[in-house]
Amino acid sequence: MTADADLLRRYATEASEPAFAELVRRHVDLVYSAALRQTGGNHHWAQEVTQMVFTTLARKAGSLLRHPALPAWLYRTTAYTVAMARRSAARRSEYEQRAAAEVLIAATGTSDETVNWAEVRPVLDAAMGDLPERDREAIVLRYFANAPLADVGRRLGLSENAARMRVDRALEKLRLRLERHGVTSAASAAALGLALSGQAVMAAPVGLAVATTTAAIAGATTATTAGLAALIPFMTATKVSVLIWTVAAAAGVGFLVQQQRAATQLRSEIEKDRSHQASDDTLLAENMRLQRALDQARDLKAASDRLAALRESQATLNKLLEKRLAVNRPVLGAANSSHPIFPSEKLDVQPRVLRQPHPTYPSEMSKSGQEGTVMVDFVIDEKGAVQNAFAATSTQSAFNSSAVAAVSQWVFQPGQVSGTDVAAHMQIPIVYSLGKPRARGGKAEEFTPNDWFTTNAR
Amino acid sequence: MRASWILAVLGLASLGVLGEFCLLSFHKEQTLKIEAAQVKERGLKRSQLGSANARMARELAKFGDLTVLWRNHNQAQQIQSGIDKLRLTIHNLQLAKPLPGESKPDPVWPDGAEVKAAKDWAYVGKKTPRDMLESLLWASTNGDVDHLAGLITFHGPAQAAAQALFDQLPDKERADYGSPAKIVAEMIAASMPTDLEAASIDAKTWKWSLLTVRDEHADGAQSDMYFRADQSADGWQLDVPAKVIQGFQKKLSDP
Repeated sequence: MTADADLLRRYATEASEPAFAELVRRHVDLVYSAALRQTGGNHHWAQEVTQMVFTTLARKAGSLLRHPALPAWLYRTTAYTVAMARRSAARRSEYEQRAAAEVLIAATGTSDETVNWAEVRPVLDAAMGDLPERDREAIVLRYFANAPLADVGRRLGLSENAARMRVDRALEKLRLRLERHGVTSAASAAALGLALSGQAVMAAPVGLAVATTTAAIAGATTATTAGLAALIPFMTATKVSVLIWTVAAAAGVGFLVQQQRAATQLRSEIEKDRSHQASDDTLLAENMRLQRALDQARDLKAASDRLAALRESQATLNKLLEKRLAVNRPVLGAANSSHPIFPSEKLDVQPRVLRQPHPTYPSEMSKSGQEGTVMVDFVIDEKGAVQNAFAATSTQSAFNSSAVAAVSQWVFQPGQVSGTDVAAHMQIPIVYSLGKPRARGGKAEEFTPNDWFTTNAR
Repeated sequence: MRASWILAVLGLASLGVLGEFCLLSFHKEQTLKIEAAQVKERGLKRSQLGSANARMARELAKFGDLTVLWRNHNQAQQIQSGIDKLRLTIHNLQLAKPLPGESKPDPVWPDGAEVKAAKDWAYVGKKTPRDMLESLLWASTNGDVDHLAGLITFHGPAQAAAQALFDQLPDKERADYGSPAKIVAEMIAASMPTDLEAASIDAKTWKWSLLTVRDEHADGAQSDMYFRADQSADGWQLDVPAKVIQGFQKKLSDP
């Protein structure tokens, strides 16, 4: 039979798949059995571990060419891989392991009268781990790889007898360590050896060797030792995360869609409003115009309403004025020798006007465009006041009151005779024109401040 | 593990970007909501404005033909002006020759006029036509020629008349007055009645201002004085007509 080292060399140097397949066929039971024990009887997990171990073997084939005991390396790598997978799959509960173990126990039962295998199986590999390397190699080769003592001796560089001695001593050490782990049924090393021969290695599931060979060779280039162990929790975690992220993303997208719809509706309303802005300006301008027009109309109406009352007041005042003028007129007859009234041509100094209010152009006359002249007759007394003013002649009697009223308000510096202030008789024409009504002739044209502004009677 | 990390980072980044979009979208929607609220408010105001306009238009229509109202309004103003003058005339006549047992009549002032006693007049500047005229009355009655000169102005023929008035002065007088405005101001002050007791000022202002002063003299008589004011860069000024300055010149030539 070709040695393991030769098969490994062929695979490492020539990529010989048949050589690697032979290696797997030789050791798959050992690895699977160890994995099954160490995973608590989980067949599925044991198969995965088996694949990972041989994948590692394929990847490290080059460095293992000089290894003296490949089964021992496989056994140790199995333990390491299971430990890694166990740490990664922390969520696998002890309960599940126990349940699986019970199933296994029920399936295998007790195979030895002296050694209770169900008691040994859970702690066997822990006890194996406690053994020195050379003792573990001896046991693995003899009981796990089922190698004859001669072969064990050759692999360990010992004679057959020395190999028997090494195996026996290693077996005894294992028994003692099992006792430390609480195994009471392993009464002797021989009984333990018998149990190990029968139970330590069980047949791997049919087809596992082929599947493992294919997977190991395929995965050797890419897979890492921890790949599967990490993938298990990762897959689980990813599913949850993906679910959460998907829900969050869906919610976000839904929110965005809803926001977009609302924004579109709002934009539509705003755009519609913008189209009304021009009409807003028009409405506002119209509002202001109407407000102004209304205020103006109210004022006009109020003025219009007052018109009748104003006309009445004007009529009353005109009557009062007539009465006043009538009162002033008889004074002329009162002149006597002690208060002579001199005609203007007899005066040494002519009266000089001090204040000369303008006459008012009667509104009805100005409105109808009528003009006229009133000759106002009056006396300027010794104090300069106008007395006895009356309309001597007129072209339009409607002007009389206005002319007489204006002249009656005039104030003069009196005329003089021999240095004495005297009363003087005057006649002045008051001309009404739609230009400007003015006193004309005589000294009455003297300037006064009242004359600064051109007075229209309107 | 690395793949898990990469996926986790990618997932978180994606969620972050999505979240940022959501925040931006939310913020944008809030802004739009505020704008939409303003739009709603504008719409409400628009509706109210439309209703108000319709109401005012209906009310305005009730006034009928406004030209009739305007005609009545103008007529009312004319009559009111005539009434003011009638009252003034009657007041002066009553004052000149009271009827037996009739007491001295109270002064008559235009409706709504603000009457200010002469003792309360002050120099109040020339920011408005009314201020200018009060300042002018104060300066005239107090003989403050310097202030008065700053309150008057001449245009065209008036400017020439003022210059002629100034030029005819003796050298010493010209040197004393220094400018035509000063001599005109002094003549205005001299011609202003000295017995003014109170006055009301009415200003109707467009591009220029028409000022009416109803005064009251010491003897109770009242009269109206009319002035025109123009606006200059530093305020309002009395526009002195050429004929007034010519009157001054005549007075100086033939006292």
